Amino acid sequence: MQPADLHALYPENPDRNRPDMNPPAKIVCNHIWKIFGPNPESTLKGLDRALTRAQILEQTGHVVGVRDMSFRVEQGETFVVMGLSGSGKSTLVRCLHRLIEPTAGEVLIDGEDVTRMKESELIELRRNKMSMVFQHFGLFPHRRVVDNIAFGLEIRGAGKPERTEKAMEVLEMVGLGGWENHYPRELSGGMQQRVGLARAMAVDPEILIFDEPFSALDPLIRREMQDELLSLQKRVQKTMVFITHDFLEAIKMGDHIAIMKDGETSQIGTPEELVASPADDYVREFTEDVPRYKVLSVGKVMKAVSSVNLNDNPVVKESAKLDTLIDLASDSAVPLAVVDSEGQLVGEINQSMMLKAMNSKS
Amino acid sequence: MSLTRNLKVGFVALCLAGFVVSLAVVSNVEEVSSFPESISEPFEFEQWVNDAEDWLKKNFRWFTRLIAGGIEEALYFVEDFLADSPWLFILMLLVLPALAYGGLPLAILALVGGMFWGAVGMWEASMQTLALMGMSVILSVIFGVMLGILCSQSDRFEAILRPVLDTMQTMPAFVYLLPAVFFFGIGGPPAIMATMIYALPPVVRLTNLGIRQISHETIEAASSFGATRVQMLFKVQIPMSLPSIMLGINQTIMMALGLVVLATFIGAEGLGAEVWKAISKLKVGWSLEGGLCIVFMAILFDRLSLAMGRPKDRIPVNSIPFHLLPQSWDARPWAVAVERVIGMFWNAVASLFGLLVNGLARAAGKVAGVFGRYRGRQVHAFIANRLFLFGSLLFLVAMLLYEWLGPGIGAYPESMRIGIRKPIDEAVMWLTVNPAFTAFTKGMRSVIYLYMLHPLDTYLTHLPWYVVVIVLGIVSWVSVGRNFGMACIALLIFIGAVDLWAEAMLTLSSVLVSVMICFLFGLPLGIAAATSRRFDMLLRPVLDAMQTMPSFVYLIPVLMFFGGNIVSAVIATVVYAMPPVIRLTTLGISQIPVTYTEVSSSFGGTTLQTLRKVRLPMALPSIMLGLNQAVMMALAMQVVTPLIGGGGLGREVFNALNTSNTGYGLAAGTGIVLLAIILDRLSQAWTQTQRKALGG
Repeated sequence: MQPADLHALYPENPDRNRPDMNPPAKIVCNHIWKIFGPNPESTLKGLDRALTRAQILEQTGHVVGVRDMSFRVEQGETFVVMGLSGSGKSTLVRCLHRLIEPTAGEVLIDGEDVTRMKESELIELRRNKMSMVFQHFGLFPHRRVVDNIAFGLEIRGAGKPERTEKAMEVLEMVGLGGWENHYPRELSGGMQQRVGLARAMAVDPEILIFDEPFSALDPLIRREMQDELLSLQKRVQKTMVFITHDFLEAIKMGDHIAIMKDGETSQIGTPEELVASPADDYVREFTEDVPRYKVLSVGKVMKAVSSVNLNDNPVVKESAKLDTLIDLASDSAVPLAVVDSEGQLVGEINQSMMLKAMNSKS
Repeated sequence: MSLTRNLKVGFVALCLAGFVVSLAVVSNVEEVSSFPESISEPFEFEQWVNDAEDWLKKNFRWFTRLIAGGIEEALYFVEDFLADSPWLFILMLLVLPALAYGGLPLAILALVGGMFWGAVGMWEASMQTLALMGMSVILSVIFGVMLGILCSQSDRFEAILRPVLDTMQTMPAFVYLLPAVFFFGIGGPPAIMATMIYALPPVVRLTNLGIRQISHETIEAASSFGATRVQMLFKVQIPMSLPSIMLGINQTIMMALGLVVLATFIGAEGLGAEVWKAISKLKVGWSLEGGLCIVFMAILFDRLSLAMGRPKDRIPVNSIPFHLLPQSWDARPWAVAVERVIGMFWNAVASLFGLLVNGLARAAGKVAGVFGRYRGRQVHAFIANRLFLFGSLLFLVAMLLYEWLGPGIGAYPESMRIGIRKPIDEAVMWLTVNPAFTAFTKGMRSVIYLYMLHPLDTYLTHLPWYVVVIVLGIVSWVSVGRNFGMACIALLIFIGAVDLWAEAMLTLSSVLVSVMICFLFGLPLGIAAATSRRFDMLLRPVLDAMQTMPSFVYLIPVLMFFGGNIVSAVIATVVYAMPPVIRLTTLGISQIPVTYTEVSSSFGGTTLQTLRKVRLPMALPSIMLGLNQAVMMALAMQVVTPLIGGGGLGREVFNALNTSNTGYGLAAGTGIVLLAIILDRLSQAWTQTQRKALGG
């Protein structure tokens, strides 16, 4: 499934980056800080907000893992956190279910503040609401595949017949039927991550967290797994938080992407927003490798016109990606007419406009 | 550069001059140097300890009795079970697990070993040793795993326990016997207490290590699913560290066996007692029988516990599984033929027991089915999936039924006794009158005594005590540090104050001579093993076997060939302490990256030059570690060698244990421990220096 299709499923919400403006989202993070070191709280209190991460380390001996991050994740969407290693993205998602304790800020899941939860409530949350897929799979070598998958159910206290049945069902879903009695070490990397995915799915979580799930895999296997996850997501419609250091993976998987640098957000937006209007050079550098015709839609590159006579020209939708129009545009001697979702004419686009838009240096 | 060079030359010259002067002094002194009585007279360590023991006996007897009594009850129970059960039943209790975990070769080893215990008439003694060992190992494992888990959960607890474990592992085994006698008297219970504590460290360490080395991600995965701390421990951490824990148990078993055999000194029964009785009567054949029983036990339990910790490897589906011979031989037709026959037999037995177990599973499933269909199916599957376990249980139950209802099996039959003591005694007799052989042993004895042991001993004992103290103090200061230098002087003065100066010097010279000879032979052997693969393959199993054997066993062959005297003690020590020297030399040389030797040969260096200028210097840290281990093992051996004529502190410990003079024993034992601490720290410091010099 291409990002284009996903966008059809999730209409845009212009205020989505303003946590206070919207009805309760699935996950809302407000001003999350994570500081590592002997006295994180007092360090944060006395912190000069103008300092950079390196300066803070030098002056206080504390490492800033996450710096004042706010974002929201809607029900059923895939939210990607993208950043290079050391940018704090793994730390950030671990703050969501407090595998790492955030130093400050609040995490609302279905409106409930995770940071204020008691240990027992937290365990309930982890058991029922969210589960996680790990970079190096995190499978238990002493358990067979089926017992690995049933782990979450077992922890929850489900009986053996029930959890075995569920585990087998999920095993089929990830395409590993017949491997239930093997041990993880007997499986290839791709298969192991399928087990990791199945283990996370088995507890029927509302939220799935993926911590660079595919970066330990070969490129071909990686693409296959990405496609499968996309089609799976189409069926199950979970809320997903997905970490990656690969920008191409981010724009392929994400409905929204947060780009992190040094523990801070550089930019949050849809893939198209990032590509079309990168907030800074850091983001722009990532977008340079991107095949822009796959990301940009006509609406972003067209020339707005209102009442010109384009009635005889071929008509395309505003939301269509450029790559779907290449054939049409090359065969057409006249500009294409662009209409919005209601069929109203909004603009025109011709070959040279498309070519210019594809040039990343523009 | 030249200044440091001059300093070095000057230093060496100074040392040489000092040595020459000391030689001159010693050769003019007639008397053995004695520690001033003004210090040793009021320092009545022995008396104090014995008084304390009396006081303890008077006031806390009820408490120690309580513990000792409980252990004694349990021990008698286990001992009676092992000794009174039909011998075949006990043998199968060993053979079946061996078969399950180690396959046919290990099962055969178990069978032969067990039969040997009976064949030489030491079934009961073996059972006693087994009971002592089993009890101590079980206690060690229980406490060890608990401590290990605590260590893994709390960094603070680990920080407290670690130095304790470190110290415990440098102490020679017998040291644990002395306080055991002090608190619990003599017999089985103190032996078990001592062994339990002595054998504890590896389980604690490896449990802790096993849990701590679980990857962070695995732990995170478990907590991301909402595992509580208890669930984490029992569902993830402990199961995942089982292989590591098993390795710890393996080491614990070997240590326990070593000390249980030695515990005959404090009145424990068993194989050790047999060997001791035999040695003290100079019955070589008898002692060899006992020794071989111990060796079989050691090898069997070593292999079995290792096999239990190993993950089972799966044999590729389309190949014939090899039961007896190594799988790599499947290119040889005769091996395949042999295996086919074994396989047929195996299949026949398996299908017979398969029928029986399936019957049992169905019956049990029916019974359990009363409580619900699922439960019934579960029980059925549980039994049917464990063919070997339930087959073995059926077999064992059948044996017991035969014993109780049928004609019975009873004790090991007299008709199957094949003692080897007679032929051995005759062979030894023949050897000892053989002029060539006596010439050889006599020659070796006199060389070691006249040119090594005697001069060194005379030198050390005739040198004024304060010279020895000061020189060792300075060496410690320079090698380790000021604090240790001071401590070293204090420790040596303690040895003098308890009136054991001459004995300590004798022990020191025996140890030094033994270690010297160890290196004389061990170094070339180690080099040879590093350069020749074939030689290494040959040597490896020998060293493996040597390292599983308790120190006690080494006395027997030496007694056979050299008789009982102080040189025999040195020879036994040499043999015992040699394996680590060889091992670590080989290891040190073979782990040098090939690049370095290639550089040397590319410049036209000969093999010998490469060895001398590149490989040996780079292997030095490892070789120094070998020195450290050899010294520690040689010291540990000092308590055992008095049995065949060794002298020094060891003999004093030995005599004190025999006469139940705890105070004296503790004084002499402490003397050995203090020497151990000094020599250990010194040789470790040298190893460190070498390592640093290589930038490690």
